[in-house]
Amino acid sequence: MVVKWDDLNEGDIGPQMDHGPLYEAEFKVYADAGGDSNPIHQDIIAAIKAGNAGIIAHGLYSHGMLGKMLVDWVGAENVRAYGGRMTGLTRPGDIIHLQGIIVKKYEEDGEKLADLEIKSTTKTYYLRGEGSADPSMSDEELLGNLAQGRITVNIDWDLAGEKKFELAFEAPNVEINQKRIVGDKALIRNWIRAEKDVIKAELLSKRKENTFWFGIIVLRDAIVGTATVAIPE
Amino acid sequence: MKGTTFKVKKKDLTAFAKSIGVTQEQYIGDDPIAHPSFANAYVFPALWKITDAKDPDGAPVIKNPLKILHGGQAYRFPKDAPPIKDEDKIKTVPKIKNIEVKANGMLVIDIEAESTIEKSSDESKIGKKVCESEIGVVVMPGGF
Repeated sequence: MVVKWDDLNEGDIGPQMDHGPLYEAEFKVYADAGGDSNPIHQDIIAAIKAGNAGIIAHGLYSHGMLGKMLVDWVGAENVRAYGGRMTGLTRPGDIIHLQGIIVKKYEEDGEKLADLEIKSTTKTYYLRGEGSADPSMSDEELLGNLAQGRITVNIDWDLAGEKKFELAFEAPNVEINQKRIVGDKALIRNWIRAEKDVIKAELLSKRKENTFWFGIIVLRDAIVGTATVAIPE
Repeated sequence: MKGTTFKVKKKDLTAFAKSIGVTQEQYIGDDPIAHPSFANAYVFPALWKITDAKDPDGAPVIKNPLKILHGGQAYRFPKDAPPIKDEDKIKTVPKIKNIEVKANGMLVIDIEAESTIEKSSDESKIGKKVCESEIGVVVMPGGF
């Protein structure tokens, strides 16, 4: 993709990139390549001992992805600066969404430059399932109703043998097929919701008459920062 | 804080680039240059130097390195920075700019670092700055 100065406007979304879902094995590869062998990124016991709910990604892993996004957009020779604050954790199973928004275009020392607000957001599935609703309900209204849903998890686990795990999901004005609800690992791992988390629903397929497949996701900012790039002539 | 020297190896340049999904030949081919994100690798040892910090009694400031989290990291790349290649040696000199315990009980350490090429087969690169970094380190309660 060739970025053209005249096509860029302040407020526009510039570069974007998605990566994931992430696997624990990727953290090991990054640890070996990036030189950060802190066991909280590879060993669940060490991660829990350090106060985490499980293995977490290196903060610099998402940070490295931001660099990749910028290089892919304008070329390495035009990346002048980038960085940000790590505001949330990234875990196995998460999908990383990276994005830059153009906040300023200007010329300095004969160079055309753009300042960006950059962000890495993790998207985590809590559950996926099938539901039905009145076809006259708009997609927007349907997703709004799903996002107000209530998840119930019932675990009855006799450590000597029997395991029972019941998952239910209910949402206003929507019929949920309880037999076709699948919970993701993140449901257990992340069920203590942080105040800044954004819970959303999304359609996983096109609505077919009154039935549809949906996912409940949590969006969480992982890195929030800025970048400056030169825009090639 | 003491500076660190990082010897660049071709296999590390390509392994790092591949670890973040880079596919361009110039970063993963036979004669690779460092991807800008490779700053993560050569700055990191300098960041880890904070674990050497001692209090006035000689005890380590950070008692449990597992409690260290990355608070933030930012890079500035000079316009005339030379490409980093196999066998280059990069010196990174970190300085603690601020250290404080926040109201939430976290120890926050702000570090600035400057990375320059210390040795290279291309003499024109020696002494050239390749990156300036700002690093935020957070130590969770119980870690200091």
